[in-house]
Formats: sequence, C-alpha cells, structure tokens
Amino acid sequence: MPFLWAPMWHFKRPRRLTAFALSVGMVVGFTFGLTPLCGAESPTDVSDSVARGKRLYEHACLLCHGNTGQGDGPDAFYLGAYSAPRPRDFTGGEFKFRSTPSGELPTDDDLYKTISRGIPGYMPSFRGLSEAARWDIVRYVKHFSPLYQEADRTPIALAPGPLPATTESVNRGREVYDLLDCAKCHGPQAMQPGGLYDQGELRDRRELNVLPPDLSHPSSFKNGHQPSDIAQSILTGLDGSPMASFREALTPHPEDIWHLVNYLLSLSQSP
Amino acid sequence: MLRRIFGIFLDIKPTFPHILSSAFTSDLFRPFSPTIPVKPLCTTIAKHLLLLAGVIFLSPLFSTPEAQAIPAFARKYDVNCTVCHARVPRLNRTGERFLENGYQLPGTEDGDTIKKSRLGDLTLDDVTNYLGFRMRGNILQTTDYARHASGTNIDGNPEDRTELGFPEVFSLLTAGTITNNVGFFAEVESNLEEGETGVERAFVTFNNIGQHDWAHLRIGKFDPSAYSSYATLRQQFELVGDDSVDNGSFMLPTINRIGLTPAAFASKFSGLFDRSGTAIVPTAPSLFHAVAEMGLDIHGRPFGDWFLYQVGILNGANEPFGDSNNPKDWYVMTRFDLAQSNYFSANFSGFAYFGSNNAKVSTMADVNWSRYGFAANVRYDLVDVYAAFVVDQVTDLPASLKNSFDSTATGLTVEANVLATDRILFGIRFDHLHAGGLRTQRTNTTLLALIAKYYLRSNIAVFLRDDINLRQAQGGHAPERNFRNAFFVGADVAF
Amino acid sequence: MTNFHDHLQSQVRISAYTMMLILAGALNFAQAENSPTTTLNGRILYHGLIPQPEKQVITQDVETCGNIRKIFPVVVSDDGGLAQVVVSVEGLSGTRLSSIGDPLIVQNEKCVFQPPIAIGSVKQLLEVKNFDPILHNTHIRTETRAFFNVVLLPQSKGIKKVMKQPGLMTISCNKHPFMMGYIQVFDHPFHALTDSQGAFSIPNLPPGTHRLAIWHRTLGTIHQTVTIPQSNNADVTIEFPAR
Repeated sequence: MPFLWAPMWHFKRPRRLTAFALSVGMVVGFTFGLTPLCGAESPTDVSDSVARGKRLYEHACLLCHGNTGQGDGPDAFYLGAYSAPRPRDFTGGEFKFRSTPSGELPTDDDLYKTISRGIPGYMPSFRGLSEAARWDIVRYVKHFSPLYQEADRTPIALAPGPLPATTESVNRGREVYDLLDCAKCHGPQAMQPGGLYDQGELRDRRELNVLPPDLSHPSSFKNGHQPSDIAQSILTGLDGSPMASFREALTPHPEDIWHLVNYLLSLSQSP
Repeated sequence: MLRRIFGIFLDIKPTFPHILSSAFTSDLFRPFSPTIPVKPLCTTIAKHLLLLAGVIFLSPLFSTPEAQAIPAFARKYDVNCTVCHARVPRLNRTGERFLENGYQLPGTEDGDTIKKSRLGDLTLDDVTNYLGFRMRGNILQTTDYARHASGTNIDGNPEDRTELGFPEVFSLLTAGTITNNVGFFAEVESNLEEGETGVERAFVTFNNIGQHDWAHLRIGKFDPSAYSSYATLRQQFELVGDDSVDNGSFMLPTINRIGLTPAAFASKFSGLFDRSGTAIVPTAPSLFHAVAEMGLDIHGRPFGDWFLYQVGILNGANEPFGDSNNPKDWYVMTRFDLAQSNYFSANFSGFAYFGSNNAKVSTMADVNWSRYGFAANVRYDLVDVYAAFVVDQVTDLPASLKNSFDSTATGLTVEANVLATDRILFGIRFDHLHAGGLRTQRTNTTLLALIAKYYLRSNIAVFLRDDINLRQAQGGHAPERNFRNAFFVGADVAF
Repeated sequence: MTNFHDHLQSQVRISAYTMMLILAGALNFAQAENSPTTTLNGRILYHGLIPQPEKQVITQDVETCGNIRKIFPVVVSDDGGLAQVVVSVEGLSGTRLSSIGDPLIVQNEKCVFQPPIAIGSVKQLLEVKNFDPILHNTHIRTETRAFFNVVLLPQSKGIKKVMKQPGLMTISCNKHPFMMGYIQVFDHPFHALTDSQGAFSIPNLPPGTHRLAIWHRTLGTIHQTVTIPQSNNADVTIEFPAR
C-alpha cells in the first residue's frame, strides 16, 4: 500500500530521487543517532497514527465517504440522492471548508475543525472521539490525495475584526450584499434561493443541484456561524459548490467583510 | 415560507378525501354500507392506480425546497433524517450501526459527549434531545373482503369498506444515552385501532463491553430481529393487523380479514395458542420476528465490520409479563456485511430460534415452536432489495394431532424500494406463505403489495399503498382467499 | 519536527538538488551538442458538416453581454482550415520547459472569455482579468477539483495563480452560465493552437517519430503520427474526420 506510507515522511522529497534521498537520510539518521532522542514525532509515530486513523475511519467515516475516500460509501447515495451535497471526495482534494484561498487544500486544522464540529444537517460532530483519535483521522484523510505532499496551505489573512454590529455597519453590509450581487444566488432577502437556482444553474461537480441556504438560519452556515467562520467562508469560497471566493472583490475595502457578516447575522436576530 | 408549507400539510386531511371523492363518490359517502356489490378486481386496481398516478402528479404542490428534519436524534446531532435513514423509517447502514452501538455514532463511544450537561456525576440531556413522537395511520382505507357470518367460518356478505381513520397509531418515544455506553429506549404506543395503550418496547443497552464493538447487551422488551438483514420494524410497509373475532379459549378465531404482514415473519400456523388459550393468528409476527418480547441479548462485531453475532434469550413467544415458560426460548444470529464504496452494500444473515414449550395446541399440550431462516439485503444506488426465507417447525406434538397438524411451514418475503427522486419512493413486496398447522384450516397465501411514498420533508411522508391477493381467484371459504384487495392513503409523521 | 530533523531534511534536499542539477546540466549539454531540433508546421482541415450556431438568449446584464449569444461549435476558414484546435506532442511530458514564458492572460470581455480556448504550461502564471463594468466570477476547474472560483470586481486586474497540473481546465462563470472557456495545460513545451486558417507550428522538436494529439472542443480528439527529420523542418496536413 504505497499511499499508506507516503505521509509518514514529513519532509517533501524530489520524486525521482526518492531512493537516493532515503538512503542518504538513513545514513545521516543513523550517524546522528536517530530522531527520537530529540523528542520529535518520528516517522514511525506518524505511520502508527495513520494506521489508527484507518481503523477509526473504517468505523466512523467509511459508510458515507467510502473505503476509497471518494465520497461514494454505502450510504452516500441516500444522503444526497438527487441534490447536493454528497459526502466529500477526499481523493480530489477539493474541500468546501478551508482557511486557505480558493483552489487550495485545507490545513490540518481545517480538517480537524470539520471532524470535530460536523456539518449541520449532513455530518454529525465526532467530538465523541478523543482529540488524538480525531488527529489520527486527519492524517488518514490526507493520505487519500497525493496533493498534500507539495501543497502550500497557508491560511488567508482576515481584516481586523469583527466589528461591532451597529446599525451603520449592518446597513453598509446590506449595501455590500447588493454590490457583490449576492442576491443572484441567495435571493434579494438572503432567505430564498435567487434567480440562478431557479434557472437550475447552480450545480456541483456531480451535476447535483446546489440549494443556496436560507441565511437567516444560523445552521445554514455549514462552516460555523461565528463571525470569523462566516467571514472565512465568504473570503475563501466553498470549493466544489458555486459559492466563489470574494477575497479579490473585497480587497479595496477589506473591512467590508465584517459589515457583510454583521448584516447576515442580523437576519437571524431580527424578530 | 416554512409556515406556509406546514400549513399545506395540515390541510392534507381535508384535501385528500376531497381529491379522492371524485373517484370514490359512492363509497365515500356511504362508507359503512354493507350492501355495496363487490366490484371486479381489475377495475378496482385500475382505479387505485389511476389515483396513485394522480396523487404523484399533484405531489409537487406540496414540495418544499429543503428537507430539514428535526426528530429526536436528528435534533441531538444536528443532522437530517437521511444521515441514518435510507428514507424514514427504514435505516441505512449508518443508522444500523448507530442502533448497534447503543445510540452512539458508529466507531465512537460518545454517549457522554454530544449535547450533554453535567451535574455532579450525572450527565443530562435536554429533554428535546431524547424525546420524539410518531404518528401514523391511514387517512383513508378501502378494504375489499368477504366478512364471515358471525361466529362461523362460512362466508358472509362481501364487503367493500372505506374508512377514515387518522391517526391509528400514536407513539411517544424516548431514546438516547444515559452516559457512555449506556443507552435506553422506551416507546409508549397508543393504538386507536386496537384500542390499546401501553409500553410497546422498553429496554436498556450496555455497549462496547470489553473492547469497542465486542459485545453490546440489551435487556428489556425489544424486537429480536433488529440487527438482521431484514428487521421486522422500520420497514416501508407498516404491519397491518388482522380483523378477527376471538371465539374463546382454545377455539379457532373467526378471521374476517387477514393481517398484512411479511409472510416470512408471520406465525404461519393455524391452531396454535398462547398460554392463556388465545389463538395465535397465522399472520401475526412472532418468535425471532416478534415486535417486542421480554429478554436479553448480546451482539457485537469483534472481528471487524464484516461479521456480526447475536445471541439472545427470551421469556418465550407471546408471553405476557412474568414467565410461565420454562425453559426459555433462545436464538442465535450471524450476519455478514460487505460495505465499502461505490454506493453499494450487501449483507446476509442467518438465524436459528429455538423455542421450548412456547405455544399450545388445541389439546392444551405444550409444543416447541422453532424457526430457522436467512435474510439478505443488497443496496446499490437508488435500489434497495431485501428478502427473507424462513422455516418454522413445531415439535413435540401430541400423538392425537400427529396426522392432522402439519408441523412445518415456510414464508418468503421479497421487497424492493426504489428512490425515484429525493422525495418519491416506490416499493413493492411479494409474500408467499406456505402455511402449516391444522390441515383443515391452513391455507397458503400469496400477496403482492405496492407503495408510493411522498416525503414532504424527510420526517413527513404521505403514502398510497395497495395490497393485492394473488390467489383470490382460487376461491374457497378461507379468509386467505376471500380477501381481495386493500388500499390505503396514509401519513407518517415523526417529530 | 525538530531543528535537527529540519536540518536533516534540508541536507537531504540540498544533496538531492545538487545531484539533479549536475545530471540535468550534463543532459542539457549533451542534448544541445548532439540533437538538432526542427519545427513542425502544419494545418488542420475539416470538410465535414458544420453545425448551426447555438443561440442563447441572455436575460441579465444585457447592456454588457448583449441580448443573444451565438456559440459556434465549429469555426473553419474558406478553404476548410479548422480554428481553435489544440495540437500537442505526446510522450514528451516531463521535458524541461526552457522558459516558463509570459503569463497566460484570460480576460472577461463583453461576457466572453478571451481567448475562449487557451494553452498553457505547468508553472506558467495564469492571470484572469475583468474588462467589463459588471461583476464576474471566474470558476476554473480541472477534471477533479476547483483551480479557483473567484469573484472579480468590474474593470479589475483580477487574480494570478500558477498552473500546477497538466490537463484540461474549464472556465465558467456561475453568474453568466452562457460563458465558457477552456485551457489545455501541458507539462512540456510542444503544443500549439491553430489560428483562424487552421495553421500551427511547434518549434524545437527532437527528430524522430512522434504521436500528435489533436483536440477540438466539439469534434473531440484524434491522433496522428508524424516523423520529424534530422535537418529540415517538417510539414503536415491533418484532416479532421467529417461528422
């Protein structure tokens, strides 16, 4: 199982020279008396972790995500039979809930966060597993895609915030909502799907319909409903769905993100 | 918006009869008239199918943009019903494992974790996170059968009855975890049709004894077949009880209409009685497939997810509270699972149920009633097919009955569900009962049932169901022959 | 990961890179001395049935996008030269790219991706700009995942990102579903796009027999073997099978 072994090397390696690098590594490693002396997480620890993650995955995750990680587990069809979302395909490396820019892989923390919190409506929280067990699963989930070995996974920076939810802020947020054409998908009041959904244009990569959620429900924010969670989703986009990244669009006025967040949160607070 | 949709649902009760009245005018306004002549079977079916098509066609009127369900476990874990149910009430694999794990997520021991608050050494749930109710029944029921003359087995007047009666069954259920690896389930059911209210099932579970998934213990009044490939409960076709008249202790009952239950799970024998002398109706689910019996059982998957064992011991079939049946009934079940990827899963289970002195015959002698069988389930994409073949055997018959009592009976049930859209489910079930028991009474039965369900949300379904007797043309006086057809328009709401 | 481990890792990496550089240098030297290269010039022709243009009625942002969008499935010149065909040489993947070249620029212009069909190389920079006075979102996907999906402000410089994986990428705009574009990304420099006359040219090809892959958006992919001589340039005319 070559995939299983891949993540045990924490360092990146030039592919064609794997054998060479390995042998040099072994020689140097033995000469200096091996890493456990330095208190590091040795490759053996990591491979043990991946093996534990595999066992946990097979119990807790496989039924939806499938043993190949393609999101085609035995129950995957029933979850999103004819409309999105189906369970995530880990092999493609495309994730909705990230702190990294659009098109990039999520950080380990992002994966850990999703496992711990779940996704309202679709994935239960796995807080019942120990923290160590959840990290084991993170390592195992990463083994499904070779892209992790070379990816730069730096989280985006958020503008200082959140800002207080004053009336001015909420009003500015509403302006931003209109300026950014959010209504095209989320509807003029952010509560009912907009025109593009009605035209059947909002689809995921499996061609399943994606329903823009009613943003006046906190549970609609699948990546968490804290201001920073919502800001992150807007700035990074939800890859795989039609929800795009608004990071470039908000560059001229970075603080607008917090006004927009304040507007969205005001929807669930109004009577 | 949501309120408007819900309002539409509340309107269904008046709406449905209204829609139907155009097709059923005469029946609907004279529902209890016993003199309506029996219509030819084919026209009845044709009419029903037309209606079925009509309601399916109209069903988009009740559509909502999102199916967000909120019954108890869904509330606790913040997920839709479809995380654990293929479509309510049928479980998917995650739901099966959740059940096996004592109401904890598969692979976890989270009974102490999710939505719990602590008070000293107690962990407490919000009431809403373990309380749910389910209301189900037939808004409209049209049955077509010949009622027996009172107290006899001679054909009486044929009947074509149409009744309104929602809800027939209302159950309040509470289930969840008390702490890590300790779960509970209790269901109080009020069955208006049977006029009974009581504890339907109630048990506690002790989970993950020894190691994770090695052994789970269940103690109380439970359904033994819960973990097999074809469980008695949580099926798309509800069990429909028989319509019969008790003729006294150790007397055969007068069955007006047979029960519409899976043949594999049925009692199968004519001429068996429980300890108190009440006749056991051949269509009533029993033994391994009982809806609830008192006992304890252990199951687990010690060698991995591919294999499940179950061993249990029960007071005995059809026993009231307190055991008079000594020795006990016991059973063993094994199940093999294949569930990896590709939207595919399959499993196969075999079981043996050994009864001892668990029924009586007309001579009041005790007999041993045992059951062996296997069941299988294959799911791929939108199709869900499951089947069970069961052999029942009665041993230790008194010599006087040896020649007049057929001691072996078999039942075969095959069912398939197809998910046509996110909201529409079609189901078909075939039942063949090779009946046993008194040779003068036993009658083989072959039934076909069709169902079309429409889910307004994942926890609210309306359905049309038609049960057809494939052997009614053979004629005769037996209730298994003079039942023709039953048509139901019903609703099933879990909250 | 400790400092020591980092140190070990960088040591391994340095030695590996040194070795690689030496090897690569040697190879390059040998190649430059001994292997002359030639240019493949060619034309792609199509004489089959030309489907009618698809017409799409536009309902939003009509001031910028127009009322109707005609999409031509096949564009040919008078003598049958097939435009917008991507020609590439197979089996040379991994050949070191001599230079990454200028950024590949894709513009949103009057609700059209310009160019609608583009070719690029791994490690090349892709730049997406928006010339229109309206918001666009540019959703670029590889076969398996999003390359990016970003909203671009009116008349904005847009976004830059290095292309990392070879393969076909599709460009769409969720806001304007009638917008469609393609980028073919290669991990070698031997590829070209035909002009309006159906002509293309691939320089610096090593001599020998090569297999060409010829891709058209609606007509599909065909293959053709060509032999590149030692000295002279090669010419080839390829006929796309008629539909």
